[in-house]
Amino acid sequence: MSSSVSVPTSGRTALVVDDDAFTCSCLTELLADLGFSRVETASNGRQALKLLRQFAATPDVLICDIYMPDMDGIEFLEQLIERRYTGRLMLVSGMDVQTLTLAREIADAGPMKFLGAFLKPLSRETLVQALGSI
Amino acid sequence: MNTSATCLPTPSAPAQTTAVTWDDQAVVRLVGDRPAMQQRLLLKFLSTSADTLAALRQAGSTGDWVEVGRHAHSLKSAARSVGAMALGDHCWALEQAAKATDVQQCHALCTELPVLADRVSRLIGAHLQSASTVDGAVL
Repeated sequence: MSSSVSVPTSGRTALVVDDDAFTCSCLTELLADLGFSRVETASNGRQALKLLRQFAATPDVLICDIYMPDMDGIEFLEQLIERRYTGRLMLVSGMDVQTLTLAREIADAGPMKFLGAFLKPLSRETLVQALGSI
Repeated sequence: MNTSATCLPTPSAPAQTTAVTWDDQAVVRLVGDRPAMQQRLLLKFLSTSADTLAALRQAGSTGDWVEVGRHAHSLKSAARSVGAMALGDHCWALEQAAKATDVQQCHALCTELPVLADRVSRLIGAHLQSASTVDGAVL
């Protein structure tokens, strides 16, 4: 099942924003396996905004869930656009395709580099394909 | 030739209700051919789902349906990731009932949830047990 695509990710950083602890663990494992040296996780948009300030540079990729308590993915996206965030972004969601489509439209209109919107779970193969454009 | 209209599902088609208890290939599709990572994630699922289930029970016992819905959403996502589709579907139903504050339905689904979760845990536990005896995997 593993892809043969080579992803030059050594020394790269990522921020995963998801309220589900298991999803965060899973993506942390996968990104580390793909050579990311630093993967931070946040359980909502508000926490993610705080964490972003702690990165010396913009993370190489930001992976964001849509449905989260406190500050959800849509509100977080709006905050990123307001802050003129120009980093790479991947969106993920459960079964709610409509919300994912709405979030994709918001992200498309923003200054960030949008790598795609995906239904959960985000597999290694999908990550490799999406990150291949980095 | 435009055949898209005939390919669309009938809106009134009943939902699929025969979801598998646990698909052991789901974690392979998720992380690829990496047995140690598969096992670590399955162990992580067992621990996080037990924590989530306990928190959900606590919220249910106090009638906090917002929290019940939040925990059901979280467990749904994790369950579907590891291939526990029936548990995921059950959590989805509980999440919807909690959103609608359908207390009767919430109680019914909360009562069934531990049974279903236990069934999944046993299947995953047996799988991990057999995997560790076959290859002495480092967890």
